Amino acid sequence: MANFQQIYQKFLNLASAVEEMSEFPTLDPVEQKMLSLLSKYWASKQKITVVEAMHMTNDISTSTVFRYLKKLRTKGYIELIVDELDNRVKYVSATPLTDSYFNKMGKLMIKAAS
Amino acid sequence: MNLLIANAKNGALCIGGVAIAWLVFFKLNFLFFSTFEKSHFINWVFIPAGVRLISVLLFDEYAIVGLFIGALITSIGMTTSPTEAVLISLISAINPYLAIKLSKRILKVNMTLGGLNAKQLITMSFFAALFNCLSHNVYFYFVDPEHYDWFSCVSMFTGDFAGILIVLYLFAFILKVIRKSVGVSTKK
Repeated sequence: MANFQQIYQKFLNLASAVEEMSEFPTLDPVEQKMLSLLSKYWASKQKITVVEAMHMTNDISTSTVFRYLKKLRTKGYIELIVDELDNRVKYVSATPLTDSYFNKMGKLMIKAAS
Repeated sequence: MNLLIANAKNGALCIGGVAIAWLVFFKLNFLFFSTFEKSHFINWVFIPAGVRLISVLLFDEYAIVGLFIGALITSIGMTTSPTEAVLISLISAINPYLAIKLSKRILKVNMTLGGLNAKQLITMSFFAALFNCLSHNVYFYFVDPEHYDWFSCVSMFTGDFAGILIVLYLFAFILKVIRKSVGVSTKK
């Protein structure tokens, strides 16, 4: 039986996936918050290790932060760079995708304000 | 009885829509990408493959019938016999359905495609192109093993995958234009 309601739902989900292909990978509110917290360090050219990142906020538990760091890495928003002297230390670094994401957010903010 | 007629009407609408979309994209492929054609059935860019993927994702079993009708119409005149036309059209119609069913199961995508993301969609496209090129080429091999060229499998896969990506990006572009024209911003 052709169920047009279901077909429409499928269309909306497909459209969302297709849009994601040409845009940035979707970020949920926690991922957005994580990126904005990390951006403070990146903006001031400060290096931040994974352990430091796990403790950068009291609002999110360390295990959740770690889980979200992995998610952000999978989505291409962060990369982990191993310390030259100590292999155990990894720094959380921004990627070109993060830069273009913040650029777009900045443009949207200006557009919204004007 | 009325419900049955209404269902039949809806089903026919889906099937007809898919068949028409196939024919339109087949014609467009001929218009824009005929220079990439390797043989009657193999092209380095084949945009109707995108219709296969989208129609199966949206209409499931109805897409098989629609794709079969569309493929049958386009393969007439390109095949040596009606049996060959039916067989190739069947392969062309059933393949994407099997590929998408399997990839949906592997990727744990639900019936209504809830939570489907770009990565999963590209994986599905890959599966669909792979299934299609393998099954078509197995058929071509059994029909004429002496003149069979395994390289056509590569060109068919490339053509299908490229075609799917072109259609998906075209879909994204159309959505963007529609959103802009009605003044709705994207979710980000």
